[in-house]
Amino acid sequence: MTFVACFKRTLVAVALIIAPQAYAELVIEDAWVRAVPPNSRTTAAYFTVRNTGAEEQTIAAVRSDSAREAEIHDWVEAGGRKQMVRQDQVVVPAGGQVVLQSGGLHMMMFRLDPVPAPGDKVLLCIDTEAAVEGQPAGESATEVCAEATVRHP
Amino acid sequence: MNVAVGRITAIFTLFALSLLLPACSEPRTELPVNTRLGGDFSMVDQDGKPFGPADLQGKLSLMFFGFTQCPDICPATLARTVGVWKELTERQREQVQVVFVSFDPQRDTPAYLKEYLAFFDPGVIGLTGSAEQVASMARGYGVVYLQEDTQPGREQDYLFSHSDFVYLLDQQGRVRKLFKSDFDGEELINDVRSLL
Ligand SMILES: [Cu+2]
Repeated sequence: MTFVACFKRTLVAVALIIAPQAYAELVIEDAWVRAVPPNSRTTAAYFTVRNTGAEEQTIAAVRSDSAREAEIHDWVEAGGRKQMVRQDQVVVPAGGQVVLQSGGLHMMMFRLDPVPAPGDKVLLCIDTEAAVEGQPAGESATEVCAEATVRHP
Repeated sequence: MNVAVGRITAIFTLFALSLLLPACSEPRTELPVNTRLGGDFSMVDQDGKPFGPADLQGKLSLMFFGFTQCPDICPATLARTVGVWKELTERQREQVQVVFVSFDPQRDTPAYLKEYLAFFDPGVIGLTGSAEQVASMARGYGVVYLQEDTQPGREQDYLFSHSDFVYLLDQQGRVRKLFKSDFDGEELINDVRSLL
């Protein structure tokens, strides 16, 4: 990791600690990123989002420091074809959880930059506010982030 | 002395026979040949060399269709299929090939496939071709795929919807069984061994 990247990550970590906690009822657990070949443009990330609060929460955007674009997808089967369909909103019920896993809901990471290698740590963020064009991961006040390990399934 | 040798021979014969017994009591059910799938096709491999039905002869093939920018099911299927192949003995592995066919020739060029597939195993064969060649081969194997629309400004992130079967082909290149992409590894390896 470069010094700048490390410094930015430290800032994010500090910001997370001192930011208001309204959205922080969401907790990301068991986050991991699928290791893919070094010339890949995309990969997928998986985690569980737990809502520890008494109110329903909605994930409206996802971001990563390793991908130019990120979306939550689900698989839909129709006409003998399986298709990944972008989910603009994912509701996490009060006291409940949503599981992102292979073959189901997943976080899709487009245009990897750089392509993370097995063992690398990647920052993943979920946001209760809709995406803002070009906003880097970890800089929204309504975001919850976690470090995910890149690994083979 | 002679009696002892005779006894040992008899015991050995019985032992040898007992080894044959399970084979007699459980006749192996042959995998039926699927005559509707397959046919002629003309593609290129990851080295840019032509690849046709003749290249599916002489070995078993575990073949499936996908695109490399599919990050969830495709790499998982590829990794699990290569995993099954690696579970075989070295001699068996020489008789089985893993073939990945891309229906995204625009992004999955031979050179791209070569680097991509080497991550799983350098032995994996990657096929691509012109849009027409890919469509023709897919039709032969009953594969359906469709490039889906993207959001404005996200054209480079296009994805496909597609069927996701893994095909087990025999040494004559005939389709013997189709597996779902979330196949049971045990079942696949048993079927592979039954054809070796
Ligand atoms: Cu996806």
